[in-house]
Amino acid sequence: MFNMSRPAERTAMTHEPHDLPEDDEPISMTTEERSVWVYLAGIIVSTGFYLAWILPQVFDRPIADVSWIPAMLWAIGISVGFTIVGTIVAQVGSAVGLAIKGRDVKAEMETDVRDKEIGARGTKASATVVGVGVGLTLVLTMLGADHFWIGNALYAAGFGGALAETITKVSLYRRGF
Amino acid sequence: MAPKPTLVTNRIRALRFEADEMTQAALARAIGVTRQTIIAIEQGKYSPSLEMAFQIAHVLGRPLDDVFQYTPEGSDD
Repeated sequence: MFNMSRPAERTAMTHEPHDLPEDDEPISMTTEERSVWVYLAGIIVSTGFYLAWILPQVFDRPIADVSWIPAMLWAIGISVGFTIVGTIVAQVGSAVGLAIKGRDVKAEMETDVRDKEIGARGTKASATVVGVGVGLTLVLTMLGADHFWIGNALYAAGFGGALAETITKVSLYRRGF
Repeated sequence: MAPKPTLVTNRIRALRFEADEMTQAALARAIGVTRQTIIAIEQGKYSPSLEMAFQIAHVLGRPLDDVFQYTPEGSDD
């Protein structure tokens, strides 16, 4: 006779997916999340390049003779360049896509409190890994290790920190917190 | 299956429909966050601060506990 359920429950029950407002599409990336993905790709590409350059040398000559400095400089340059160019391309592409869909580009590409919270947690994860890496590098230096090991331990600390930061952020964006 | 990141649930989606089918973008604009954050809250992937929760309830014209519910683990509620 009468529908005694609460108004909101009735509303929720009567709105099938095809009735949803037009903007109820699956969650899209924020500007910050897109930058994190680009950064992650950049560190993987640059470190892959670095390893491909020095690993063959490590296995066929004494460590002291491995030419690791140019490889590391190139890898750092590739990482920085990839991140800058990739971020610009991703953000411009995103802005164009949003404009085509008729969305408010400025509002959709802003950074908000959720981005900042995720950023802080990612930075904390990175700091922990980098701190341990720097500590180990200090020990290597005290033990008089070859420059190769000292330089590469620092590189590994930076790589590990960046990886921890980006994976933490991506996980928080995708799985929630 | 991964555990849900928060024990706080909400009825924002249903209440938006009641509020003249308010869009996610309109709600986001009203409380100063991105639409993605509203989606994350609706999907239980982000617990807003107490202040943001009050802002959402205010915009929807509802008391806070009509919008957000807390169900402790093991509870039948």
